[in-house]
Amino acid sequence: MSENISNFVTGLNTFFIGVVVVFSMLVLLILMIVILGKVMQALTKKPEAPAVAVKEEVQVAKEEVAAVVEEKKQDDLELVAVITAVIAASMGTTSDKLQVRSLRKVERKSL
Amino acid sequence: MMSEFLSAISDFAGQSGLATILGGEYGYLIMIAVACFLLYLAIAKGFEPLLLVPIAFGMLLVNLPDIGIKDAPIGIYHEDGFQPGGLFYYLAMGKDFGIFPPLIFVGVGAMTDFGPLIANPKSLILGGAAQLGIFFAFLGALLLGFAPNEAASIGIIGGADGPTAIYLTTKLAPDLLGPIAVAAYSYMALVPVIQPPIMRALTTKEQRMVKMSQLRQVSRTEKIIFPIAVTIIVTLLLPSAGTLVGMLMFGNLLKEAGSTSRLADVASNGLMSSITIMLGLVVGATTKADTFLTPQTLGIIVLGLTAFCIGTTGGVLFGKIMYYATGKKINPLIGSAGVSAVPMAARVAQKVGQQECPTNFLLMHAMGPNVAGVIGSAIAAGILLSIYG
Repeated sequence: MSENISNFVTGLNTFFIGVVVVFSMLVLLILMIVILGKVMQALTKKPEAPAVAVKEEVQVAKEEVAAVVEEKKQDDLELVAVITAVIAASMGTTSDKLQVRSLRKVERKSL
Repeated sequence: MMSEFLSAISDFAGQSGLATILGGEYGYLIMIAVACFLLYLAIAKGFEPLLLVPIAFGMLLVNLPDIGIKDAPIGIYHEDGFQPGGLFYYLAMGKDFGIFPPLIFVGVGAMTDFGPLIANPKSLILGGAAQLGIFFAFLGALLLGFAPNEAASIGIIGGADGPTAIYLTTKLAPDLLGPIAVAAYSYMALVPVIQPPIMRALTTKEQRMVKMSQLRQVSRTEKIIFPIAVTIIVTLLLPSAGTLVGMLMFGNLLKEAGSTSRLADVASNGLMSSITIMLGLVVGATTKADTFLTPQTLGIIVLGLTAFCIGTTGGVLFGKIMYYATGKKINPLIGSAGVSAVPMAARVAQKVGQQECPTNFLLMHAMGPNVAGVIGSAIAAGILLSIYG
């Protein structure tokens, strides 16, 4: 019985070491996860700041594109008139009997 | 002629297992009955059949006298008179040499989602609190007269983690493997029976009804870095826990990496199942009547149960501390899931919570402490191993 008690007393040592080490390891892992989360947040946030600038740029670009498109429309109208006239002439009719529905640019690939 | 025939028959009958039992070895009969009862629990009552059926059948086989399934080989291989050993003699090496439990951990890792833990790292504390049972049972076993290394192995039952208990016991007290493994797996299977009364006794209705806020989304990168970082940190600080924690994290990395989904699939299905069959059978086979039916076994089973109850208590009490510390935002029931037993313990937390409030879903919140418990008990095993190994 006295041996049991002495074992128990030395066991208390193990008890405290065990509990302290388990908890400190887990606290360390908590710190690791928190730091990892923070780092990840910082990394994913960085591209967000330029994102606003990019948006503005996009808006500017959009306006430019809109202007270009309008110019293009005018160009197209002239082109339509010319093409209609040419086709009418070659088919021997008048241009009011022909209708150009769409114009598409043919992407020529070198063969 | 007739007398020769009769004597041959009586010789044959004398060598049968039945003769051994009738000759006074009633222990075998008791163990056969226990094995059949466990098979009944597993198949008819659905108590962890995937674990309990192999264990109970191993128990049944080894307690049919003179089966020789565990016999060691006789003589030297390739020499005259060599007789190979029994099947379980060879299979048991996977358990005795500490091969099967870490492989099981690869499978467990491949099935585990550490997302809830990463989203709510505080739950690691609950996973640690539930390991208190290990150290209390260790002290209790010392008082009952077990040697320190045996007491350490008995205490680990409180971790409610079968593979960890087997891994530690084969290294510290191989003689006690039978009762410890059986106790650990039985209590894992009995989680839904043992835990709810303790959980209800320690919490108020108001506490059990706490609904927890939704967990944040965890990015894939975090989930990939987590297993690698845990392996490095834990193994550098506590090398003796490295094998178990490392294999657990390896399995998890296979799952999270994405490009290794085939390996993760094998680890969590094929590998896990094959190892469980072999480990279950040989664990059951450690319960041969002549070594199993001793007063010591009874002491181990009682201490194991105590350890498990204290572990649950520790988890719930720390859950209560966190309930007050966070301004009633944490449901203390999830603390009970800190004993490993993945995922039964988390399911129990969910069930008990839902009994109070049918629209309460605690499962994901309980998975955090639950998987933390696996890490916690592996760390506890590592500490005991480094002190008594």
